Amino acid sequence: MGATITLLSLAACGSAGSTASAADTAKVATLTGANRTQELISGAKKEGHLLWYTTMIPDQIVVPMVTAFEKKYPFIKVDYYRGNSTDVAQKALQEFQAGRHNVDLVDGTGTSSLLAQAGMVQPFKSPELDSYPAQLKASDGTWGPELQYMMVLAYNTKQVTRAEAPKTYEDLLDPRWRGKMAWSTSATSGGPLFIGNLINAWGADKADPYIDKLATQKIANLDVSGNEVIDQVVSGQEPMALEVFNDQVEVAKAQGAPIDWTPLEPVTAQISRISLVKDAPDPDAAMLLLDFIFSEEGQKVIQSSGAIPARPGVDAKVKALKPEGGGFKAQYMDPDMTFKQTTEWNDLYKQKFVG
Amino acid sequence: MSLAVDGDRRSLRRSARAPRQANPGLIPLGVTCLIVAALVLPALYSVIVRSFTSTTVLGTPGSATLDNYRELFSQQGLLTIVRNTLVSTFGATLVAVVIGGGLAWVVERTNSPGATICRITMLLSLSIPYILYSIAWIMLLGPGGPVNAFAHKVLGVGKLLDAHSLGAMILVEGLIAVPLAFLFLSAVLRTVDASLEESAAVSGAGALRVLLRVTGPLTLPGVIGVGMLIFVRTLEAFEIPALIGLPGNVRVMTTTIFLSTEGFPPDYGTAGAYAVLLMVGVAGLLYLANKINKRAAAFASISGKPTRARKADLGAVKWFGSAGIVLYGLIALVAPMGIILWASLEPYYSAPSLSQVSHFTLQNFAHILSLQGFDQSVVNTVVVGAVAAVAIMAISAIGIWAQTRLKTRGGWVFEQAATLPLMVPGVILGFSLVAFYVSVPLPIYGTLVILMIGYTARYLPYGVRYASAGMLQIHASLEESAAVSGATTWATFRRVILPLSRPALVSGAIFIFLMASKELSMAVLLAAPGREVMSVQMYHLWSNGQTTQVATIGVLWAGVLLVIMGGLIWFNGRRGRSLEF
Repeated sequence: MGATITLLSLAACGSAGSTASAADTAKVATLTGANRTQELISGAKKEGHLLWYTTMIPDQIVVPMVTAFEKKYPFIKVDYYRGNSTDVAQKALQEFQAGRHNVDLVDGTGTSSLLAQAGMVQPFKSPELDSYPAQLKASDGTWGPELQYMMVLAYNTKQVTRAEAPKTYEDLLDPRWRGKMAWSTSATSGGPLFIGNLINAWGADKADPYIDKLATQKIANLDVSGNEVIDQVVSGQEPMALEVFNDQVEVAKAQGAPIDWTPLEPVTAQISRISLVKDAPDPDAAMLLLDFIFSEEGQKVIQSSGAIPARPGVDAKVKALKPEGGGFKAQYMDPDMTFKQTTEWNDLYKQKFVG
Repeated sequence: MSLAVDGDRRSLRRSARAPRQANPGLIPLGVTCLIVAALVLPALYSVIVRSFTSTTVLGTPGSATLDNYRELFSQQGLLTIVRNTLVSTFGATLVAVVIGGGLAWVVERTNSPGATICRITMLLSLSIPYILYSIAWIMLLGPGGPVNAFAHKVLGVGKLLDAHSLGAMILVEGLIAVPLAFLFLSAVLRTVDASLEESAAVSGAGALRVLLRVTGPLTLPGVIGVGMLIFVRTLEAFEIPALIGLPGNVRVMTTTIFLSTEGFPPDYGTAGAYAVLLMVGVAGLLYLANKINKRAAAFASISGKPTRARKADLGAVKWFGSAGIVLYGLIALVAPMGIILWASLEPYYSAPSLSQVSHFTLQNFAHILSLQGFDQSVVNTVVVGAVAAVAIMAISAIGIWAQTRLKTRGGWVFEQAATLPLMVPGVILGFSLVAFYVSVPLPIYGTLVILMIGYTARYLPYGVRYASAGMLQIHASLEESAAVSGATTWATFRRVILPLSRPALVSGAIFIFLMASKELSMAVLLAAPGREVMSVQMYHLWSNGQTTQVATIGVLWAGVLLVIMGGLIWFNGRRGRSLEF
């Protein structure tokens, strides 16, 4: 009972913390000059912590990142909440609209677009972003890149050999693959994204007839995350999977799982984007974490986790994962446009493949 | 001593002077109805409004519309969907009631050995999260999985059952509901007047004849009620249709509806519309069931002469009962948990085979135990589950007492209101609670309190069932004796009704604790940083594609429950009682 009371009282004061006024947040986010980092540090010392809603895998990426950051800035405690894009975006949005300003940073592939549309993003400037090309950052400072995802075809090596595995989108139409493929129903990976990538790359005139033909291939719709689809290929439940994360395939491969991947060009490239929330209560600490994530030091943490660093010049641990290392062509779609068309692609996907 | 007698006499005099209040149940009923309303109405209001509202590009409510309802009925292949839905729901309900009811009869009413094993099996299977159970069956039935490998090698058939078929859906949904049926029907059977069965037996009826002609009719209202509960639960659930049916293109009503709630941004409108239609339909069914239950008054059976439920002597046939218990345990618990244990020992999942044994590793266990916040999440799970269980049983006991024992006018309102959450899918309930409490300036949002409120609302219907099963069959003569002896209404409740229904209330609390500890769809939405429950940890691992680690949490949780249950049995044993749930 004593434990219960302690828990409850802890829970009750959880939302208390440092507060910065709206004007402060905007000022801190766009600080420039030689003393910028020093000013952020002295502000962060007063704040003492920050809150981050993340879609990245905690034990693989978030925990190592937070550990490295807290080691560099021992006076900042990073709290995080983990969920998928939908959970994270909804949570941040509902809180913001109810006037609760707890969270400082939110990330995800589509999340930034949604939050920007809701008017709850604070544009920021980080000198670290100078090293990034235009396609990997927002021109208006509403987001910066954490890492990249490359969506590829994965196959079970006990059931499909490297020579047999499809190399192009046309190869997927071969009757021998009917009923042998699976993808996630997730709107931000899997089937809908696959369709969207082709429409973007080929235009509707070429993509539509192809999608109709693909729909006769009986692709299994798995209502699971992209990573779980990979697990089902590993276990042999599904011989092949489309539009899955190549870095996660490598993680499984490294454990000895019978799985490998091949890029279908153009490969769908996604960027995990992070945004600063308007009226964030801990802007100084949040800006320090943003700088850290974009920096070479932070991107090295991404590298050693096995994921694909966003920063040019920082290779993936397995070099072939990154387009420049693996020698494959990837299509970076405009994330805001992708977000706008997600519902459309999702509807088309449900109509052609689920219905 | 004389003081106590004096006190009794005084209260006797008082009640002799003032006749019993015309409506003593009004206050308890009013209070419990208010609590239930506070728990249920915000969510309900939000669901109904949402079902008539469009969703903006931000995922926020837009303008008034009927499109959500239109979309329900304009799904492609609606006829097939409706057929699949009816077949799988009826099928699963039948599987659950026949197996669960059959085993409940064997355990409660026959001398077949194995009763305690059966009860533990039921409780353990009750606590397996749906995700884990579905994963286990996909592994068991999947290509290379042991079931079809066995069928192929030994029986010479190609495939016994496809992992992604209507048959598999019925099997898994049915098996998952068996413990529900078993526990509720055991409670019903335990309260049936044994003297009626004895009279039948004395008059020369065999065990089967007693079952069909006496026990059966006596328990029919209970069986119908339980069947309905499982039917609705199956109609509302979407985890199993999504995981097992969808990949094989077996679609039911919930499948596409819930794909919208997983969209980006999520659309809760259509799911809300479905929930509203379910509520209307079930309200009608409940009305019918209440009519049937009214007839149950004639069968009131805990009378002034408490008789220990009679156990039929089946002779050698009793071993068939035991065989049934063992067979059920093997299929419903040992096989799925076996393959989960197997998965937890593997670095990555692959179908059981001798060559894979060499890969055995404890790295998953090491990883889970070192997972940040894992121990805190276990504590949170236990705290939230226990608070919800106690709160629900208290509300249910008082409300049902006012309704069924005090025969308060308007008592049906309590039961109806308390049953409503059954029809609201967890994800919708969670979403509605967040939408409501995020703008309430109390320390509810972002704390464990919102989880407690959520669980209490969600599992209230089950608590009400346990309480009414326990109280419905207490004979009125006991209360009348208490009243005549001068006991106040409250004293009668405390000294007569509560002790007699205590076993049912305790079972209810344990049941709710187990159900709540595995809840997921709501917990994911309600969790805040650092206040996660175990199932949310499991969910995150699962969406990271770490199936073997999900399996590991499953094994660890089963271990914790085994220890708790071992403790209970030991505790009961010392007090000379056997375990009854």
